[in-house]
Amino acid sequence: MKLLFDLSGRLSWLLAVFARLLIGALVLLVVADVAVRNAGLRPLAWAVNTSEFFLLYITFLSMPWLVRRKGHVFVEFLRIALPERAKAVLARLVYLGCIVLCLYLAWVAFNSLALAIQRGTYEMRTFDIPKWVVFLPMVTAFALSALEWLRYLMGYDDFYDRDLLEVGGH
Amino acid sequence: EDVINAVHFAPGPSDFTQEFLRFVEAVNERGKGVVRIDVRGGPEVIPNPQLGTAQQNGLIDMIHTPAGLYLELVPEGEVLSAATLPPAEARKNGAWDLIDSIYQQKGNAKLLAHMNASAGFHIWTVNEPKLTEDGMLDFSTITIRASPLYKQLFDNLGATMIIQPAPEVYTSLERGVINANAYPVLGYASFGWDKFTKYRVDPSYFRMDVLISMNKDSFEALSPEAQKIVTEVAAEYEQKSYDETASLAAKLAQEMLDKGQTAVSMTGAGKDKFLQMAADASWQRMESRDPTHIAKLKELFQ
Amino acid sequence: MDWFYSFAILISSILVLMGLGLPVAFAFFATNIMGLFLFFGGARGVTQMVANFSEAVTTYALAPLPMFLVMGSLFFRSGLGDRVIHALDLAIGNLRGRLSYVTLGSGSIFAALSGSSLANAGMMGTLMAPEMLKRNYKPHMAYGPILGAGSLAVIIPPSTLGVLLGSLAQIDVGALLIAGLLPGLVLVSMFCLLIWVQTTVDPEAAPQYPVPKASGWAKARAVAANILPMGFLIFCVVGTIIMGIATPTESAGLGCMGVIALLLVYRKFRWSVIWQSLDDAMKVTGMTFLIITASTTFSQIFAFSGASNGFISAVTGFDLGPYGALLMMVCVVLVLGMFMDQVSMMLITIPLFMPIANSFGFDPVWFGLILLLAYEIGFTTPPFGMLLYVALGSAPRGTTLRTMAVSAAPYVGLTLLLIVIVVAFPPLALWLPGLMGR
Ligand code: NA
Ligand code: NA
Repeated sequence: MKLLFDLSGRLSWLLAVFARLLIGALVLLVVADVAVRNAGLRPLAWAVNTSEFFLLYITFLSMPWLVRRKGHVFVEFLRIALPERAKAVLARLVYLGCIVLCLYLAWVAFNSLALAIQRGTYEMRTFDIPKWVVFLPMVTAFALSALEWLRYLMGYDDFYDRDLLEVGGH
Repeated sequence: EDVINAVHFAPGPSDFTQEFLRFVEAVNERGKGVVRIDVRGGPEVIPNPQLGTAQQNGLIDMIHTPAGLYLELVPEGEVLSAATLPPAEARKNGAWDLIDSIYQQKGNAKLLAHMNASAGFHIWTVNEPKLTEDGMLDFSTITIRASPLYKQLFDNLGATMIIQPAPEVYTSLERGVINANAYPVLGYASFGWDKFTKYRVDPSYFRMDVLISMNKDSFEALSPEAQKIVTEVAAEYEQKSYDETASLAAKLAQEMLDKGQTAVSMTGAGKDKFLQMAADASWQRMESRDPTHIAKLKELFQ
Repeated sequence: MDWFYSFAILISSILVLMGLGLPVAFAFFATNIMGLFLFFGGARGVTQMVANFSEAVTTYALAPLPMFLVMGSLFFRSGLGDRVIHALDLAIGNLRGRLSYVTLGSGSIFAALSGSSLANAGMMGTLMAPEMLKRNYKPHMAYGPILGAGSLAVIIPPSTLGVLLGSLAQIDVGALLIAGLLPGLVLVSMFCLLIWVQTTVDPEAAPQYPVPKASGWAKARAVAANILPMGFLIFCVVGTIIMGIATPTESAGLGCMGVIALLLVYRKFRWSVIWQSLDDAMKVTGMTFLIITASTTFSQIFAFSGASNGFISAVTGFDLGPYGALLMMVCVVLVLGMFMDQVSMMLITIPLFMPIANSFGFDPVWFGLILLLAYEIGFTTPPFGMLLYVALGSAPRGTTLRTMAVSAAPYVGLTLLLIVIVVAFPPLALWLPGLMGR
């Protein structure tokens, strides 16, 4: 089991590395577009739509890693009123709920992906982009996130314990 | 009583939506006890680019949206903006039936009406437009905001094109990031753009391609009487929209002229060339996406 | 009362799931799926929702967030921020809470001129907040000004929300944007006063720390070496917008390049710093955008189920006279703002509000400005407040949403006060547009 979670952790980390690179690429792309336009050359008409897809990929590629690193914001105004034991049970229920959610959404996204490939559908922006490109990061993100939540459920970590990890923000 | 769920593409207060709501009212009036359209909202309910798919899947029975917003399902829909054949003629010569059958096959959609077909797009410029020798607008000094649909055309014309969402255009015009705009007369002033673009370039090109359509299965599930009412009212309102849109556009254009806008027209060979290039760009793209029906469409729609 | 059923189910579901500790995005996912099965096409609806995820974030207007985050984080991580603040200390001297004023001032400029409160909060959250916490400022002195500055993004031009409101409500866009200028200045002044009151009542909220005595020369040198180059950076972001070199969306990218140029000049460029900044930006962006995908679809289901329209009609249905109706409309926006994003709120409320406003003969510009202020408040009201989340995402571990909401509360209060002032004294909003010959 531990091996599985080590592997999923590596994979989540790798996807997050891509997300970081995409943010860097986003900056470069935007600056290049402005520079080219102000130099009086033809602007990169595809730059805006490409950036938009970067945003989609940044969202989903970073998702599993943020589950692992407790980066998803939560509130606990009801939870906080519970005794410790109940909190622990509740946490398990939340993990379980998140697993179900992630698996369900991964499955729905996978069906959409399969249908998009089968029908050969595309999205029209300044260029045509195959529709499966939109669903691919979702399938990956939800499936991998399900694994990460499973890791919490199996007791390898506590999502609500903020002190186990090194300081996450700064 | 059959109930039809409907979603429109434009925000509630816009002229487009108000027109659609009048159509809905007419259907509900005439279809009392037989059929009722239940409008569930606009872009706040389903984002524009997803309307076609939502209808195809049967999530929504009826949509009111431009063909250009879901060309990925029915690329042939572009013919509605590229060709100049009025809808009434299209219904007579079989063009409407052809495009309807293509929508049924590819988009699982039954076409009911082509709205606003009498209005086209204009180019609007901040600086006084210069014409080339043959009478075409000199596109070399134009930096224009337009939707991705028109990339091919403006590339071919030699203009510099910038893609950006409508609410950002105001600032871009104000600061000079762009000096031209491509948009219909309808709704133009509502964004405050007329404050900066003091020139309207004629002629208009393309056509508004707003469609009312229904999910094919939901349409076929209607009682024959309900089907009859919906299609009849739709055809009526298509004609009504054709007439009313023309006068509304004229009125709105005049309002802008009264506020100090100037209309400049392309002339002679340059004007013809421009219109031809506009149509060609669309046909080229349709052909590259799916050549199957092109010959037939050309024959009927041109 | 059909609407009440869906309204109660959707709202209580989101409240309970969030309160039980489900991460915000997941609470929305769960509520959405339940809502879809109850009101909107079941499994087909879920398929549609997944397709809509991409519509929610493949939006160029969101691009400034990651870029501004990179910018703020580069500043902080490289130590440039520290030097600038040190120079500010020398230049300003011992004004209590000075970093709060600086944050408010620079945040206001960036937020107002870039037009994106989200991106600005992210940048100031990564840049200024850590520096202030390091100097033992209490969290509300660090985050309050950051959250407060967001208000100005919406009412001072450029403002995409303002343009959108103008076009939806058929209000003269130019007049509406100009109308926000004076109230914006009043708001900033009130915020300054707030900081002054906060530091006077509780001096320990922004503790004094020793600032080396410096001669006039040393001060001038520190300013020239550390603060003036900031001017270059401000030019990269703000100047390029004003000069029409870049759009507000693009200018964030130029800001990033500006910081990198400064790093090179100050010999502080390290690839590791770049990498850490991308990491910071990824964390906040990923978290924020996932919430945006989830909450946008929530708004759609909320609207489709009829909950929002029913709620609005019910609340604004009483015959309360012009001021009563105005109060009700503002309250509607405040309530919806606890659960919904600004654009969805506008699309939902405007078609219902404008007929009411017109029936009372409200000046559209005046009314539009009041609405803009009300919409903007939703950014910082819990449980769903995007600015709160962004600030939280960039805050040290252990910071709670409560801390953020409490920090923002007085700023929300002052914005409400501004609404009252504008209602009581319309010329504040209408004088400038009037000069423009409206
Ligand atoms: Na602004
Ligand atoms: Na809120």
